[in-house]
Amino acid sequence: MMRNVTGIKASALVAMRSQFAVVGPVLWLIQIFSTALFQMWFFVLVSDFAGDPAAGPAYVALGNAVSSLTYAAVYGVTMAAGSEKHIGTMASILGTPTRMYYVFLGKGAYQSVIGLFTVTVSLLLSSWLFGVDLSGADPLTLATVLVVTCFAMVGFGMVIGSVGVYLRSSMVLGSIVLYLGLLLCGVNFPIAYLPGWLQPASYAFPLTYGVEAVRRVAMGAGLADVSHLLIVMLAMGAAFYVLAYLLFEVFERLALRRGSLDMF
Amino acid sequence: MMSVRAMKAALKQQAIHFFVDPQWVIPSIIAPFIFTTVTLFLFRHTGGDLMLYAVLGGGVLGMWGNTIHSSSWSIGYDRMNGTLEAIMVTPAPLSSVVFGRCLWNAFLGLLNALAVFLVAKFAFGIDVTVRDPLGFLVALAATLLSLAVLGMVFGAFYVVTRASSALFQMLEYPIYVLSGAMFPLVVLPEWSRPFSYALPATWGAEALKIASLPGYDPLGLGYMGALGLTALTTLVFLLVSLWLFSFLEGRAKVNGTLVRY
Repeated sequence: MMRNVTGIKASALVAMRSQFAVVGPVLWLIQIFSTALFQMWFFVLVSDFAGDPAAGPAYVALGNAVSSLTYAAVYGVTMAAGSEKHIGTMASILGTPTRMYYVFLGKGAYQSVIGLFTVTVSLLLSSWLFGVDLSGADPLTLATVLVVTCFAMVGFGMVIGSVGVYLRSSMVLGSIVLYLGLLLCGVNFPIAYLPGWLQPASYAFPLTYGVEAVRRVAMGAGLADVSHLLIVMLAMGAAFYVLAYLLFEVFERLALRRGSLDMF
Repeated sequence: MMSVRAMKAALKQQAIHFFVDPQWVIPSIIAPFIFTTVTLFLFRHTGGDLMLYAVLGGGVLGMWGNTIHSSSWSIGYDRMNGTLEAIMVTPAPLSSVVFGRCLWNAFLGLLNALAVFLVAKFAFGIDVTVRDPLGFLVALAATLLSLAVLGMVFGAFYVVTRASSALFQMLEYPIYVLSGAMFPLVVLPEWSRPFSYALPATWGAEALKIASLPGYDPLGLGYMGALGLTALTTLVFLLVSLWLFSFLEGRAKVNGTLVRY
């Protein structure tokens, strides 16, 4: 148990150090700000031009601000296994006494911090520049919703990322998941706009519940009003972490048998 | 200054890379594809020409997304694999090599346009008939060329930095916004419009729309005017990129950072 906790901590620290090894802090901050800003701006302009009252600029800006969490919490975690494979360190990780699942859990913990920072920046930008009214939101409730959403999304990312242990790369899968949320999770328009056969897929993404909860909190809802959404996300998150544990075991074994651990 | 032979060879090499492992096109075109599909959902109540407008804009986004993504990665991979130095000591100018790659990547971005076309046609039932097919094809070729040149300008910076992935992420979305591919330029704030006017992608998208949509010409340029501005801005960016390559190549050689990864 203690060994796993140490492994998680060490992995999170390595993830933090390697973050700034290539891209310096200033460039990284510019990247975070500009990506969040321009993605929001793009959809705000589209929605402004479309003139749909059910999906106006503020609706779209708030949805995109919350979905910015996906970049770190899902894509970052999904890419972790692929990146190790890419730089040829996967076998070294397997050679340590810590199980692979805990190593990637540590990376997920670091990505959670980055994700929460990104979403905070995005929410501030959406409020300052795109008319999102957060004056009615209780800061503590908003923070709780974001932390729970992040917890569930990192679990989701771990599930997808586990496949990267076996496949040549998790980048393709990660890229799809990164952007699919913009379409399926009520980020840019209500889920009811989607065709009926596609709507159930929306509810498999924790982002759907996170976006809905933040919208309600922004309108003044308290913790009790969004508790059912939080419970769903906590349950989904817990299920994702268990599933990810099992998948890491399975894919690790498969990769060893196939000799594909360092295949890129 | 530019070597056609090197361009053709680079284009061929990039094409071979694609056919060896075609899955890598997905990360490059998924963003513009989803952005366009979301736009189609937001425009769905408007119907008619506005939907076609989004389809055309989606094609431009796709070409740009693939150009910037693949071009940054291609130089990044050379740096990672230690082949960037080897390329630079060949007699072929690096700018020609990068341009050949960008051209292939922009062309491959048309896959996104095809995917958007299929979604528009079959999921949204949009009539995707263009008004002037020949004019459309000429404008498409000009837009493709202009985006490849734009990719080359940014590609020059990848020669001096390891942070190509960060740069690519910073540059992809601004062009989505500033090119006005998905909305008229008048929707943009006035202060940002000069940036839009300086981009060849803006005029390429405009020429495509004029050739496709009946009665569309909000800036009163006419088809030839938009095409001329595409050619003019492309030429300016080409000259800028050639100067940048010459300057930044020299700098990378002095710094000795070509194989730093």
